[in-house]
Amino acid sequence: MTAVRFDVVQPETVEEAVRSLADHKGEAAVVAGGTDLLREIRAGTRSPRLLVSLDRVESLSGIREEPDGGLVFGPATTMAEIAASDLVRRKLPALLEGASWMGSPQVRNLATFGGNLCNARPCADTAPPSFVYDAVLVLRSAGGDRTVEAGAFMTGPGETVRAPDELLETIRFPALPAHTGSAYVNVTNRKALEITITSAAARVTLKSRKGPIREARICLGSVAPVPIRASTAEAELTGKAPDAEVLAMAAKAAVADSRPIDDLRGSARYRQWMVEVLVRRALEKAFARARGDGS
Amino acid sequence: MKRIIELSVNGVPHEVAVEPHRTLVEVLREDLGLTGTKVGCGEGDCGACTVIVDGKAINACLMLVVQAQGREVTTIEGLADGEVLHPIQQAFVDRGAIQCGFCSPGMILSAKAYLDWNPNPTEEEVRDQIAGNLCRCTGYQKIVEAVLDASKRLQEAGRGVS
Repeated sequence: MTAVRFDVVQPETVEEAVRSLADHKGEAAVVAGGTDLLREIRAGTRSPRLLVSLDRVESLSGIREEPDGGLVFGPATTMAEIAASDLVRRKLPALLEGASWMGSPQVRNLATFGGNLCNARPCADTAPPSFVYDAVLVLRSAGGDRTVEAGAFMTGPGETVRAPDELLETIRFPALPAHTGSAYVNVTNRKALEITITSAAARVTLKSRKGPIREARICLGSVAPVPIRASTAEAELTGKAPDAEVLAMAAKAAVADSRPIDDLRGSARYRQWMVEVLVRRALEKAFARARGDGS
Repeated sequence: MKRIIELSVNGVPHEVAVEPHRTLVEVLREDLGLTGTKVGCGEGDCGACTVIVDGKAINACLMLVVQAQGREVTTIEGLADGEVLHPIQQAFVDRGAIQCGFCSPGMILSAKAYLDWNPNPTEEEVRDQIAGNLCRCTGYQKIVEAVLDASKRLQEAGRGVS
């Protein structure tokens, strides 16, 4: 297991971390929990000469509520910390649902939110929720920082707009409007130690507690090179009363928004079938929460 | 080039000179001679290497030893009190939850980390919490029964956190 060698630095501040990345541009990789990177290094698909470990940069962990009700996450916050957060459960339940599922209890104690987004797998469980919640990512480099919308962050499997000398510094979620409910559902081969085969995150805002839909957002995972919005389905929902027939129509429409491929975990046809099932379930849960009668 | 890492293992402080690419599981096994922690897949997919670090169960094959600097690590060797097995270990023995034994150290430590946090779990909670530990021998039933049994023994002994 020690066949592959690399050096490790452990900066204590974000400034030190971005300086290391700048000094070793192209040859350095960021490591937080290491649950993806160490596997890739051992498999030979990545071979950085230097790992910049974030384990000592305390400012990169934690979940903070802003005065306007939004939430800010340090990217080194682990999946387990998100899963245990009452703040996230109340405000961003779809994110909690995504984070609670992935990996295993042991993996969740190491794997980080930032790592899940930066590794940019199509199946990343925190990505569809981040998309529907309009999360904004702040990327920091020695030259300054810039913001990127979650929906624009991933560009392909394993690819993001993050440059090698940039560090993901914060993930910010705006406060949600009143009468908003959300949920994340997925289908997998096993309860743990497997990756999502198809997923759907849904966020709906009603005009009033019992009223029609003001706006709906649906993001699908594992059915395209990156998580994608089901815009046809979203359009079907705007202005309508959220009854079973409307949800079923939207779920059906979402299938056309998906572009799955056959792979070892499932065929394209199976995934399309699952898109319809999961979007309907995600919408049902989201509506129950928007009306205040779900958990 | 090697660097000095200090970590506490089973309550004993250690200082080891290690190269930075090495993982916690390698150093525990090869440098400290604590071979109770097993290497299965080396990728975080089987749980055989589970140890407890600062109270949390993790895959030791995925933690770089330099990331364990200053931390408290519990391995399977740290559970028994001399010749007296920890109640979780004893429950595994009594319930026939050990066949080849390869998954057992990791399985027991996952159970311990969870019972330290939730002393009175349901069967479903136990199954969820050991989902990161694969067993090829037992079919899990006796393991689940042993963990539930252990939770009762621990509560009776008044040792919620040990």
